[in-house]
Amino acid sequence: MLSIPGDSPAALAAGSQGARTVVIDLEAVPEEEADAARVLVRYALEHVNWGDAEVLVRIGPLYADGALDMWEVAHLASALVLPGTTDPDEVRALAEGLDAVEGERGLPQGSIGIVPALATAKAVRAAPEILAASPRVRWLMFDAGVAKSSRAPKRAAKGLAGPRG
Amino acid sequence: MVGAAGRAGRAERGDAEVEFERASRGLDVVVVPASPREGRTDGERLEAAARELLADLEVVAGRVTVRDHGAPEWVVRARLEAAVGRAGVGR
Repeated sequence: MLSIPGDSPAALAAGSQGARTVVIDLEAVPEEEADAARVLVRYALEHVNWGDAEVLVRIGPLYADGALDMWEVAHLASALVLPGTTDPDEVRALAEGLDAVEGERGLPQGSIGIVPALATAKAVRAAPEILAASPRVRWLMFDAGVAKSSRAPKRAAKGLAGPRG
Repeated sequence: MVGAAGRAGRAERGDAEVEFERASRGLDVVVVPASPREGRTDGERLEAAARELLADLEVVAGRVTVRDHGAPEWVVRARLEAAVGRAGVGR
């Protein structure tokens, strides 16, 4: 698995480099660059040759501005990585958002997957429920040593209810 | 409003620093080519790409400066779209 910073044009332009799975990371992008990185990742998903790789995008937390990430790039990704997942309801909330994205984009319902990333012992204990929270969940990712997001909780949740104008 | 600007991109190889400045009329696009160690810049192509994107975004006036650092065309487009957004104009 190859992880690519979502604010690095050079890294994005290099593509999958033979990896079977690529995770483009928007969560770790500094807050002041998040808007530009979202646009950059959308263009990278449209223009870079990713070969046969499965391309996932790690969005910011939904209680911060992960929903904005979702609206910008979800329709071009195989799945979204949901960081810091501790509760099945977070997966359900993202699944509802993806229902709306797919509806707006004319994509088959359920085509965009979710990969919850678990970072705490509490989350690991809830793993069976998180896995079962939505048929969109492809697999689980364990974030050893990741205590919290760099982009949270500075900003209030926004954008989950609908697309931006 | 005239003069408000938005910027996006960094002075790194493979990126482009793009500034969009509002103007009351006219559309100017200036491309500053990459240094030889950063790569070759096709200024005409980047200018055409910038103008095409601005048309898509329904931006009819402004001044664009692209400082290329060997960026692919899609990176320049992405940086311009972000800069326009930060300037608070466009669709």
